[in-house]
Amino acid sequence: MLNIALPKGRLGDAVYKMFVDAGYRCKTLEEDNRKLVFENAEKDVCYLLVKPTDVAVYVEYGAADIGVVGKDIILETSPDVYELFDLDIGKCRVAVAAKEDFIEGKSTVLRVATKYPNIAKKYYAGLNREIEIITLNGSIELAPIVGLSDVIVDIVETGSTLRENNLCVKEEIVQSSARFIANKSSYKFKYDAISGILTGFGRGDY
Amino acid sequence: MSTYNTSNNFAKLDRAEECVLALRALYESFGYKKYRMNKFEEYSFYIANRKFLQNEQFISFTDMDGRLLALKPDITLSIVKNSDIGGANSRVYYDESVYRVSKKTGTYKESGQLGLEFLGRIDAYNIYEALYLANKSLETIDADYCLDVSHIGFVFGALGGLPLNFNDKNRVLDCLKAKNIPELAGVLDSAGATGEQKNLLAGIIGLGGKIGNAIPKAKALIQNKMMGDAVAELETVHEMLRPSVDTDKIRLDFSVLNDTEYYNGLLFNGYIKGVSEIALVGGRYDELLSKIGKADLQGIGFAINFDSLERFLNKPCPGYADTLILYSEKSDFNAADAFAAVRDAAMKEISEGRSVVCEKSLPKELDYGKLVDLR
Repeated sequence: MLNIALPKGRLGDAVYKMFVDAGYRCKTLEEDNRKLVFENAEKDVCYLLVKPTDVAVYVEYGAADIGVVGKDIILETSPDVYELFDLDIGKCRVAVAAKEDFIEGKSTVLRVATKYPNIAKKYYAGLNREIEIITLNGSIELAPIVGLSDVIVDIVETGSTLRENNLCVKEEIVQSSARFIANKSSYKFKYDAISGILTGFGRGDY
Repeated sequence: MSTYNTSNNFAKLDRAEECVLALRALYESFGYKKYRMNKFEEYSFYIANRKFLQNEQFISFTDMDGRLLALKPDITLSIVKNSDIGGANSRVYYDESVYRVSKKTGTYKESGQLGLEFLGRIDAYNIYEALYLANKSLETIDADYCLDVSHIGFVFGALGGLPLNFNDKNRVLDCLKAKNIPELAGVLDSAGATGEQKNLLAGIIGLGGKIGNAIPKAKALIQNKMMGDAVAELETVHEMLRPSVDTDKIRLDFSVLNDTEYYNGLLFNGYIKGVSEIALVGGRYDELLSKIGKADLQGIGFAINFDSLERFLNKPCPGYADTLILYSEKSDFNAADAFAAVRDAAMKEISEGRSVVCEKSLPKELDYGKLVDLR
């Protein structure tokens, strides 16, 4: 049985459709219920619905053999997994944003609110800029509005949330999209099953 | 679970302990001697060689004589530093703890490592011996294992003709380690690599499978002498291993790149089915010896990480006693006779070679062979 960690939400829906197109449909997953584990015994796969930020954890620890996770999460958590290919969906960018009229004073420590502390630290270390990280778990856009931080580091899809809050992108750090990842040990022992899915996704080069 | 007799006492070994003893016997049968080391080393030694360590943070303290010491974060480094083999070959194995920061928890952790090192002048037999013992070690832990083998010479030979700066080279190595073809293409594009060079590296990532089947595919990718020499070495070792181990369990995989500053030549990682982390890490480390001033020596070895294996080997199970003695809950300190009866019953069991547990009620997590009810 191959355990597949799917991210809950919009990205998960799009990813599941790709699995369906590859021949790995699981009808119980399409029912309206609150289950988290869905099995297709015929195809020998089991879908686990997990929080998008937890997909890489499930895969790294081997609770899931494969999974789909945003590149932003991979960069933030550096999981020891194989990153087999880019699904080219869930596209966004990790960017520095601030109030439209924000002017960065280089003589003070920059306050950065983010749920990506590692990406932010690495980015500003590359600029040799001293920063103070304020780690938040949601509504990041609020931080510069109320003076909690000077800037934010967050994902930006269309930019509409930023615009509605009078914020704008100041610097783009990295592009992100959904990645197909595999646990290293599972890749050895369940290679045929993983390879079957990769072929179904049109990736026979592994 | 087996019973280990020491005169009249018993020591029940768990699976992990059984494995350690079996592996020690295996290594000793090939002439490896146990290397017992101090838990501390001069802090300055690790500072000077910190790039060889997986993490640059280690636990330091000042000894009573004012010396700054550190708890060992690495075993190989200490063995190499302290070995003075005077022209002879040295075979040692160890069963020690290392103290490192866990990447997963971000806190210091004590980890059990069992491993071996061969130091001297290395020939094909020594490489065979190390790989044979790595295979047998994994097989001892569990029959469902695989050993991924790689060669730094093959990968560095392929990178040799590429216009890569230091950062690009590290990014390419990271892509190879993660089998990340799309990102690799991006790095190579920005570095100005040709289509042929991109295809070569994508081919190396895609190359894998049983070593016997994969070596001909690796041969087809050879571009220069460095890559050719690496494949020739892999081929020789494969031929030597064929009669003595199940080579279907040995896979060629060039994503095994461990630490390219520390290792050179052959590298290998072992996996056990059901264990999500790498169980065994090894390879040839002449580079390390050269960098610490022992260029006349060559080294090959491996370490087994028992932290990742203990959960797999030691499944939670109830305790066991040959005899369970139950005595009255009403017994108190005034009931000396009642306690004497418990004592006598317990000592009788012990003297007859049976393990015993005395309780006032049935324990929840205890299996037992015989019940003696004194209530």
